Amino acid sequence: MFGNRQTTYAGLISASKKSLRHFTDELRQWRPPGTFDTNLFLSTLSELNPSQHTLVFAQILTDALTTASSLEHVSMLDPELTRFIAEFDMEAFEQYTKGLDKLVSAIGRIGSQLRDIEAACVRLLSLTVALNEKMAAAVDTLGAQHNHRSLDGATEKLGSNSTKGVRPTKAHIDCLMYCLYTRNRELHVAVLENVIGTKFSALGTLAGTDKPKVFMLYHYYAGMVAVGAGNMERAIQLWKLVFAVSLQSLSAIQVAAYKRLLLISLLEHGTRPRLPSFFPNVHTRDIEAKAAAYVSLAEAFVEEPTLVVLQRLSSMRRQLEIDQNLSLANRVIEQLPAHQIRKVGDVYASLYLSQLADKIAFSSFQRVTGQDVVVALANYIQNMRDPGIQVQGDVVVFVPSTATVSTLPNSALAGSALDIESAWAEKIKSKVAETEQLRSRLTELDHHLALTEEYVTNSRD
Amino acid sequence: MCQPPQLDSFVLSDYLNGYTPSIKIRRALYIGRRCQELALESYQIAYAELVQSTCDLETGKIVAKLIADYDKSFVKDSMWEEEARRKSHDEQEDLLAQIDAQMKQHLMKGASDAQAELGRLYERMGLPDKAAAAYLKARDYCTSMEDQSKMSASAAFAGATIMRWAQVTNYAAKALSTSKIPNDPVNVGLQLLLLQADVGEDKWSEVARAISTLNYESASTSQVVTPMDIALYGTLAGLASLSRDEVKELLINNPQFRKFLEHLPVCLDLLQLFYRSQYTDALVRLDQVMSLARIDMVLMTHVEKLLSQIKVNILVLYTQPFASTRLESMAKALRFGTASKLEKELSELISSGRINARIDLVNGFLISYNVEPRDLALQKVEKMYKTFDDQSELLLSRVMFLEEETAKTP
Repeated sequence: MFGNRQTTYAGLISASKKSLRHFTDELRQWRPPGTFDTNLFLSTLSELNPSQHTLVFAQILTDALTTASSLEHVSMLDPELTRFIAEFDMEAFEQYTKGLDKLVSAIGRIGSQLRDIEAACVRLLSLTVALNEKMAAAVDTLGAQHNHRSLDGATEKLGSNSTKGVRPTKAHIDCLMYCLYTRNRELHVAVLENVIGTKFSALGTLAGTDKPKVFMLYHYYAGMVAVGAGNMERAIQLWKLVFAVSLQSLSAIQVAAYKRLLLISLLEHGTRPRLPSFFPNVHTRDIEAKAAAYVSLAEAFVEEPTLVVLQRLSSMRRQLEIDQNLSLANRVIEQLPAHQIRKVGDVYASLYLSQLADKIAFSSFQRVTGQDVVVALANYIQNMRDPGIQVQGDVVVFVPSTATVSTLPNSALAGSALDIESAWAEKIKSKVAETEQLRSRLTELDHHLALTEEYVTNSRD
Repeated sequence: MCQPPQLDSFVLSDYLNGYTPSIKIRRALYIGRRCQELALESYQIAYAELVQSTCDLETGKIVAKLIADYDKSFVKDSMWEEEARRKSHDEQEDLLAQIDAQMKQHLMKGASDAQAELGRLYERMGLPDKAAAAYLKARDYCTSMEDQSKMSASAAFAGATIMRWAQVTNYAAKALSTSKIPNDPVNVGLQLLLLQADVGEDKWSEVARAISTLNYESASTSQVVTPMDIALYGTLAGLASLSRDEVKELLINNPQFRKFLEHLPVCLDLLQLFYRSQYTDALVRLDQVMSLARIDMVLMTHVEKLLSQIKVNILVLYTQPFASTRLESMAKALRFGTASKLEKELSELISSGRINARIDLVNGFLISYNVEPRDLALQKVEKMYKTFDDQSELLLSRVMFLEEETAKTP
């Protein structure tokens, strides 16, 4: 019996030793077990070395997770999964990406089935981090990726870095997706730091051949993870990257990203976001047409009184629900008085709470009247925790942070200013290397484009 | 509706006498519609000019009716009407026949002259549109550049009567470009027309600077833009668009412009008070000057905007020397009525960045607000860095994408 169980995977193991083609041929005829067989899976896995039999190990894990039917089953597989993550050979997955994709799908699926999404996300996170490390290590071993370029007319190999360095995989995208399902802030923070924090060196084809979609989807989810982690600025940066790809027509992902980008921009800065300058004007107009209600809300937010903003919001409530942006929009509206108060602070040095409440029509926001408005406004300002806006009795004082104002104490000391300047000098210095990289890549791209057939025949679409 | 001009010794007939008949009539009618107290007098002046210099029957009938509304004893001049009707009909027929005959014989010079004469007839008939069209046709028949220039000039002057500024600018510029005599009175007149067109299109900076270069001797003879008009336009345009020092240099200390100001002394007072920062008195003079501007048909659509612009300039200049100033005293000095009206105006100017200050509404002060240049520089660096950071990340991603998209596999 035991011998029979061993031979279940023996065929795959021996095929993988011969060549990848043998392995894939064997796999085509492969029928996985119908139920979770603890002995089969664990004993086979325990005898295999993940680094030497990466694809087989992954296939066994996939089968095990697919047939698992309880948390107990999954917890039995966890040690092997951890061992696999620590020791797998990236090269194997480079040659046969489907193996990785199936494993990732299985991890996510079992988490959904057993309603243990957080655990699924944690596993995917570990796997993704390991993938990043191994991909980066492969580049270090081979040397700087740009040293392998050779400009040789039509056989020039620009873009050969698409097989080197950190690239997106299905694990990256699923990790973000499952992180979003969890709604666990700590997980969001962990994913933001460990996965999203690692920049891609190339796109490659590990996540699929539709590179624009992979790129856009990744950054779209990444932005949502950043929001969940409470890092709105990062979310804005990530969603803007959705517009970095060049397409012939507008993508639904870009439209969805724009809607959220607009809301977050209003939340954080009180202004509409600017799309990248290289994004085609015709697509910008299209996107604004498709997100017309959002654009209208943003315009009202910036220019119109509170009542108009609330009316616009209620008129687009249905659309927000469909787009699953209602809670975000509500957060934006909650921030509206804060932006209005700061705008008032650009004009006034001090005024009474009642005057401020009139100027920003706080009563229509809070739906309170009389003295309650003043009290509510005072509480709102206290909750803003902005050192530049202070409530002193029934007066609001706006304290400028940088101005030299004759009637207020000057808090800018010479020493602190020098510290600020030296900190900025360091930051700028660190950017020089990145600027140099950008410059060299642009130069190479320019050379490459000049040698392409499309450029020569002038037939590029 | 508006009040009569609050100027010492303003006499309507003297004011209107400086213009050509057609412009005089149009200005008089405009004043009659705008100012109830001067209506009868202006309509009477208009009617007298119509009878004396034109055969414009339609306008004559309308003005006669308007006068009759005010003065029941008025009797219209039926003889003039009959004669004007006959004369305009006969002359028109003659000229059209002449043009036809000249054209059949291909005598272009003759046709051009007849067409020009027809244009002048249409002007007398109160049809400036047709007059301009006739001049342009005449220009097409002209055989020399000089004649073409004259016809373009005539079309421009016809356009000025009905304030078609685009037409005026277009044809005046054409006429000037082909003319070879720089100080020719017609050319000076055309330059004044262009200036008036700029006024009509509220280009105050251009107006102020153009006026500061005018020569009194050559410009004072114009009957389309009189010296009083130049004084008025120059003053208002200067206050709306020039700095204090420019007002001093280009207008007050300009000997040529001072001669124009002699025709309207209140403007010189206004400019001097403005320069000396005596804003309370300056605003009183401004009210007087604006009372004249309100009956000027060229300025009619721009009066309120101009007034607002000048008051804003005065407000901005008032705040500049002070570290802080009490809102009540500022409102009183600048004749704002209440501090709350002033506060509204100030908040708009602070928001737009024209005034660097903050309003202390609790204590009733306007406090100067100056950011340290170093802080400002750091803020700019921070903003620039953030933009650069975002843009470089975007660009790197785009380059990465483009590289892979255009890569060839061997």
